[in-house]
Amino acid sequence: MPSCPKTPDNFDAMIVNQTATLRAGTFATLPYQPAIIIFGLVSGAVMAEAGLTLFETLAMTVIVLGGASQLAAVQMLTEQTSVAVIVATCICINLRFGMYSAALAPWFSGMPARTRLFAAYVVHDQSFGVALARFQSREEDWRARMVFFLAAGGITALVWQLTTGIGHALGARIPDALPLDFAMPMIFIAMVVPFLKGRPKWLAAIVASGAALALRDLPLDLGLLAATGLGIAAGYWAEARA
Amino acid sequence: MIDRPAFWIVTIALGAATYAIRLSFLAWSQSRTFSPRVKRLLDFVPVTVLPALIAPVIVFPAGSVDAVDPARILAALVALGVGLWTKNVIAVILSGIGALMLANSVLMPL
Repeated sequence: MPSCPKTPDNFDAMIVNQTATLRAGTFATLPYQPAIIIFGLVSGAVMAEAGLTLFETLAMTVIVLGGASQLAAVQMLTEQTSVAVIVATCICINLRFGMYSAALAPWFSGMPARTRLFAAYVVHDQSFGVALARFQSREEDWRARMVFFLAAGGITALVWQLTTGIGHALGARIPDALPLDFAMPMIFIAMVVPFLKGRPKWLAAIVASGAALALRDLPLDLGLLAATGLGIAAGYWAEARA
Repeated sequence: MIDRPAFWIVTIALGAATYAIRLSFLAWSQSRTFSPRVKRLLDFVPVTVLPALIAPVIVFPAGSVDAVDPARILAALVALGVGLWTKNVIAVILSGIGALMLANSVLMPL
């Protein structure tokens, strides 16, 4: 007979721990936030320039929650591209979230279905990078991982959504000087560093980068998926051979 | 001018599809487990997706199709080196942007 789960004896200690984990998840993303803020402001300004209202901008940011795909969609909308092509192209841009979903899934073993519905919404580049690095470096149960992931993913999503709205309001007043478009690549470099351990990982990273450069002209952003596949194959092969 | 119905169709369709993509394997793995081989393959996801995402952005700056920017490549390598050395996110970002500004000011007259 299914029974109501008992309150664990160490319930208070668990709450304290979850608060610490919540804080850890939030703090882990803090160094990335300046770049997210800049990206949000610029994206909001671009969306305002394209003629979207503040409500439309926020609606898109909340519903889609994928900066690169949103900017591509807005660009193509202003060019009167057909809806089917826009959606197909942007889905391809966001297919990487499927790889994040797969890579995170084994760490969430035990997590109930309803919780997964919430966690799925905040599967994005930063939550993936920060959380997976944490999961690989310490033993925790799915509850702690969930708290960390929701905190890291939620705060980043919120900052991006708010700054997109602010960027829309500020519009053209945002200076486009400084190498600001370089901040985004930098945070990806910072995110990948903890994972670069051992030769197979390095080989995979080098092959994926080279392939992404060679295949960057493939339509529908498929170069990214192909490059990732080649990198994974190279790394796996190197590991199996070692 | 953006066509309003088109905007909302794109936003809702893309939002639904993107959420489904995010949920995909989280939902799939609810009642199933990954084989050890698949887990080993998945271990390579971060070291392949993240570099593949940014390599073209670094090497070919926005707006240019074929013009390679050596200053950006140099700055990215500096940032990577600083990251491996310090393991510090802020150090990576600041050293990368600093190196780019320095490289630009040195390379500009050439």
